[in-house]
Amino acid sequence: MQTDQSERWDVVIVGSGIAGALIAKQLGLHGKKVLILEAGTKIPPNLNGYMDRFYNAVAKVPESPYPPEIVDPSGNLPDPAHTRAGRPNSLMLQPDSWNDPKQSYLVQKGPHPFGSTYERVGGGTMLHWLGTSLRLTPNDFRMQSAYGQSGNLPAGVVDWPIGYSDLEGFYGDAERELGVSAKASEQNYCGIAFPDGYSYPMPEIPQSIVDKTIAQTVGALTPDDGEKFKFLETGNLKDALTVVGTPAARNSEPYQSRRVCAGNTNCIPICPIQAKYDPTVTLNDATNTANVKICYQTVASEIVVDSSGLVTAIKFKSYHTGSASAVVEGKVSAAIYIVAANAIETPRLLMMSTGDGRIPDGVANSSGMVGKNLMDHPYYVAWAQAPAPVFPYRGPLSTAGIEKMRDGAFRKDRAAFRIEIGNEGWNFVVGGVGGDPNVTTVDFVNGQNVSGLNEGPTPKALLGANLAQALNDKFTRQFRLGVLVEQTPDPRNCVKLSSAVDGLNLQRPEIHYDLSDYTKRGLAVAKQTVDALFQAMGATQFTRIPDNDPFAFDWKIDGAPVRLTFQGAGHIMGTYRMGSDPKQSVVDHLQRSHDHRNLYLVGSGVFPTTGAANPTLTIAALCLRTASSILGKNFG
Amino acid sequence: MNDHNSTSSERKGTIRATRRAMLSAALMAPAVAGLAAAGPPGQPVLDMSQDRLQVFARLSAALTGVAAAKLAPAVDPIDVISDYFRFLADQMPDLFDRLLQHAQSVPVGTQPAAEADAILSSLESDTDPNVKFGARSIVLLWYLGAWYPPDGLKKIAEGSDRSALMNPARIVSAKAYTQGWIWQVMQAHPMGYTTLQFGYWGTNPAKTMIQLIGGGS
Repeated sequence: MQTDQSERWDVVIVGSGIAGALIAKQLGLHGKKVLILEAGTKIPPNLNGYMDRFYNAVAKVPESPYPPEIVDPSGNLPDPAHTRAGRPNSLMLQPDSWNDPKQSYLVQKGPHPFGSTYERVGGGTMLHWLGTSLRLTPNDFRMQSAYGQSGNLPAGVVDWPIGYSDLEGFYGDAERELGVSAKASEQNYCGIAFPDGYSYPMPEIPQSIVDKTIAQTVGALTPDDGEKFKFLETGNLKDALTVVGTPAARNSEPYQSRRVCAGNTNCIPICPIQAKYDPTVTLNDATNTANVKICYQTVASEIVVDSSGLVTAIKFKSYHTGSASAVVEGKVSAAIYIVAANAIETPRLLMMSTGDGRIPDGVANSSGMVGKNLMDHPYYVAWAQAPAPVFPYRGPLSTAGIEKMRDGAFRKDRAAFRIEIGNEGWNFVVGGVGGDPNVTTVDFVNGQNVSGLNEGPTPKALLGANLAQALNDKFTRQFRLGVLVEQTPDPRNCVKLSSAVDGLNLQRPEIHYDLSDYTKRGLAVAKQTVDALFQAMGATQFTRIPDNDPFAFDWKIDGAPVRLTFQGAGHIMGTYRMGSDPKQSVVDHLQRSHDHRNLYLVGSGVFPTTGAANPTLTIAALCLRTASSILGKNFG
Repeated sequence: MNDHNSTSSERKGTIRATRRAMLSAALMAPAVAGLAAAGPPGQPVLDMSQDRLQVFARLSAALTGVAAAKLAPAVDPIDVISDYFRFLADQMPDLFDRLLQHAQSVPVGTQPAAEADAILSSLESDTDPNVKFGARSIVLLWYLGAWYPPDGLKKIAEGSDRSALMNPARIVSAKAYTQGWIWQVMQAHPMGYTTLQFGYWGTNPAKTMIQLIGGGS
């Protein structure tokens, strides 16, 4: 932390991810003095270092380009007790790692693993996001009112204190800030409405051959196919399964001085040309106002509250990389405090802030709801060989989806979902962490069959032209479908403080996580839908669930036993939810703490329910709304 | 990317002449050439002459199905073949030498397919059980830019579990990753490294696999 601690700031923000960055920029543009405390390392002057780490990574997982290192020099997971600002990564989710606190940063108590990860680095987790920029549907904000009468919604499913119309204008602002490419006339399903004549900032991203192949399959369905999809409970099958271009914060034209997407097929973990928006774009604008300063490698460790309930300071621990001893402690003060540290690190900080025992449950927690209702979009992914080439590994990772099942009468009984069509073949689905193209290539070179593609009594080991031909045939027909399923809130799914600590001697997050039957019913229909789509395409499915998969569970579909599994979608939501009732929620509709009027807790932790849409655009809209509200107030 | 062969015959002629000139210069001045290729004191000199690299290119073409002219183009500012030659000589010196001898033993032919078949036959006739796995390591190096050591491949291929997952020991370099031939075989591009243009993904690849990897063998 290189700043004069006596300096007075208007606002201190914890976290330089998208939520903190958007608010900092708006405040900075209006002359407010803003200090951002970022736990991770600084934004590098260019992407070369991150790209080099990615290219050289054996496991090209979402976290691979970013510090700290995900494995030690011998390829093992380092003990998180020795990492200063650690974070969960994808390798920690392996069957023999996920519940071992010596390997996993999150102290996972199950029964299922929490499968989502995040970054702690300048710019935050949106450095490795996909770019999907969907709006929630109007009914996503009013699940209890719309579907609560059935009696099948789990207890605890609540309405948001705001509705779609409260956010509509801010969604538009967020689409301009991020630079979203889409066609409005294609996005007005499930009640999503735009102002007359609304245009997204850029035209839509072209659809891939995989997208078009699935759209053709859907287009060729006849009323006779209704029986095969009867679980969808829809009278208009073709409409329900319509393939829709995905709104994406990805340049289809030059925008914000950034280049047009060249289809590097690498949005996750890193776009090499920054055609995909990431928060460093906004942070650059913010610091260019000369009113915003970022202090890196500075971990907020306690929020200090006085007897009147006002926050008076944030304590921090500042560290240097590679030096064991150099940890400096300090504190900063401001008129307003904003915690934007994601839905695991934010409740962690609140619970660590006990005022030397004066506030045993932590700051902002008079409701007891801090850390409760942890949610994700349980992600069901299935993969197959198309009957003819669909030419994957080309274009952005995903360019279209099946969206119209994000809302409907079925939500009285089971979770909604959206289907994301993948353009990256079997890159992350096959063979665990190794992934393709490596797994399938090794199969055909070394006579193995990890992928399932090298079938026969003895797997073939090929060389030369025969090898190239076989691999061309297999790879050009690979595709996958991923389904993001709505998860319902349950206070038992939660973040607590573990007795295990990190390298700064701060308590690490302890996670308890499971799925409700309502969510599992949605997951089952997701599998049925994908199976039926594969069948209609004439595709051959290769989806496998390993025996030791800690995410897998037994379920029944039409009375028949079935094994289901899921992954994390990277969408961490719900641990400091917004609401009108201070006894049932942590923040109000402006993301301001019910307990402390100069404290804001922002990001997807405020979501009372998840819908089935990727959360980033809603995070952005909520934060622009909060910034507008803060600017409308007088600063003390 | 890989596909940077000169299409101008005039230019090719120029380059060939240049390479011949370089080679003859090296032959006439062995002391200088030796100095240039010398390793640390006490280490044997690694022979990386153009002839030797061409033998490696012919061996690699037979193993991978990618044309020698694509693996070692006349104009090759990227020159990943030299990196791989050095890498293999370091990782498996004796085995690499033995593999090169097989390619050396087959005369340069006018039909690349027949030449490739002859090299593969020669390899198959070798009674050393490690040769097969050394060859596979070389294929995976060219395809993926990753190092799968021969003994690791052997252990899995001769083991009971053909579905055991093998992770590469390492990615050889960023250059090796981006020059991996698997991406051309699948008519795509390395993830995170493309020279294609906006929207290309909406239409079929402009080139067939054979156009991309050469030959037709």
